[in-house]
Amino acid sequence: MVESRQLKNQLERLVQEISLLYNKIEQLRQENQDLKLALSTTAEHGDLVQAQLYKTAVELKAEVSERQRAEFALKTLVEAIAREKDDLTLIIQTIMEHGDVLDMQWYQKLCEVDLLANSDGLTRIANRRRFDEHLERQWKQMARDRTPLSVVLCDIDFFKQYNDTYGHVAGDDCLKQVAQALNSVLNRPSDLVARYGGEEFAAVLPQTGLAGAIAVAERMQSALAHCQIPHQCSVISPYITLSIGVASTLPSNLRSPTSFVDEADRCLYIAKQRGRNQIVHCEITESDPPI
Amino acid sequence: MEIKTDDYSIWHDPESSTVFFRGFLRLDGMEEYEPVMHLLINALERSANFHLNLRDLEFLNSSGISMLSMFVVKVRERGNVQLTLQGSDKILWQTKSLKNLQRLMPSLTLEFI
Repeated sequence: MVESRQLKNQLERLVQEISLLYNKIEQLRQENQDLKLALSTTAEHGDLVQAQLYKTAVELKAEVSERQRAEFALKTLVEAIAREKDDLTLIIQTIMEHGDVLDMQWYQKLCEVDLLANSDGLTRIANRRRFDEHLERQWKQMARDRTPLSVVLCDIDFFKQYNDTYGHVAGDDCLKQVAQALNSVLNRPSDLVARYGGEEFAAVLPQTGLAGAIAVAERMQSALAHCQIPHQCSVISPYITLSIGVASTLPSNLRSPTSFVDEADRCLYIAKQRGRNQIVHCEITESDPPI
Repeated sequence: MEIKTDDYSIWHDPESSTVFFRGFLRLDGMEEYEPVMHLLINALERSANFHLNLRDLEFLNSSGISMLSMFVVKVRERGNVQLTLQGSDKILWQTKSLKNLQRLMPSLTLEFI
C-alpha cells in the first residue's frame, strides 16, 4: 500500500516534471523560432543596408566622376578665358600703341607738309608765305602792345651778273650762303628771316625800333662780308654785297603790313639808286599817310 | 581675290601664298573690315605657309590693326599654319605694331626691309 502510494507520488512527480519539460521545450522552441526570425530579419536588413550602400557608392562614384569631368571642363574653360583675356589685353595694348604711333606718324607728316608749305625749298629758311603770315601776326600783336616793329629788306647786288658769270648752280649756292648768313644774325624766337623773292630776303623784327633794326641790318652786311663770296663782275666789291631797306613803325590799324613793307621796299630802291651796298632807312609815324 | 579702291588695294597671289596690302587703309569700324577678313580667311585655306606683305601699306587705322590682331589669333588657333608678316622699317607704324602681333603668336615670323 505504502509502495503503491509512493509509486503514485513518484508518478505524479514525474508527470509534473514531464509537464515542466514540455513547457520548457515549448519555450525553447519558441525562443528558437524567435531567434531564427531575428536572424532572418538581421540578415535581410544587412542585405538591404549593403545594397543601399552599394547603390550609394555607385552613385557617389558617378557623381565624383561627373564632378571631375565638370572640373576638367571648368579648368579648360578658365584656361580658354584666361587665354582670351591675355589675347584681348595684348590686342588692346596693340591698338593703343598703334594709335600712338599713328598720331606720331600723322604729326611727322604734318611737320613735313608744314615745312614744305612754309619754307623755301632751296635755302631752307622761311618762304614768302611764312613771312607774310608772321608779319601779319606780329603787326597785330605789336599794335595791341603799342610796341615798334621793323622790317629789313635785302637784295643781293648784281645777282643777275653773278648768275651769268658763275652759272645758276653757283647762283643757287650763293643764295644758300646768303640765307644762312642772314639767318645767323637773328637770335630771338620772334625774329624771322625769309626768302622774299628771287634774290631778295626779308626779316621781320618785332619789338624793335629803327636803331635796333639798323643794327641788325649792319650785322647782316658784316655776316655776309665775312663769307667773302667772290663776285668778279660786281662794280662795287670783289665780294657779294647787299643793298638794304629798313622800315620801322608803331603798328596800328590805320596802316596795313603790306603798305609798311612797301616803305621798306622804297628804301631798298633808294639804296640801289644810291650805288648799292648800303642801308637806307625810314621811320613811319601815324601821321604819315599810308601808301 | 582682290579689293581695290582709290585709297588702297588688297590682293591674293596664290602662287606665293601671299596677300599684298598697299596704300592707305582706314575703314570705319570692324564691320567695314569684314570683307578684308573674309579675303584673308579664304586665302588662308589654301596654304600651310602664309604671308602678309604690308610693305606698301603706308597707313592702317586702329580698326585695321584690330582686324589684323584677330586674324593672327585665328591663325594661331589653327596651329598648322606658319605665318610671316613682311613689313617696311621705313613705315613707323609697322616698326612698332607688327612686333606686338608677334606677341599674340610667338611662332609668327617678321621680315623687315
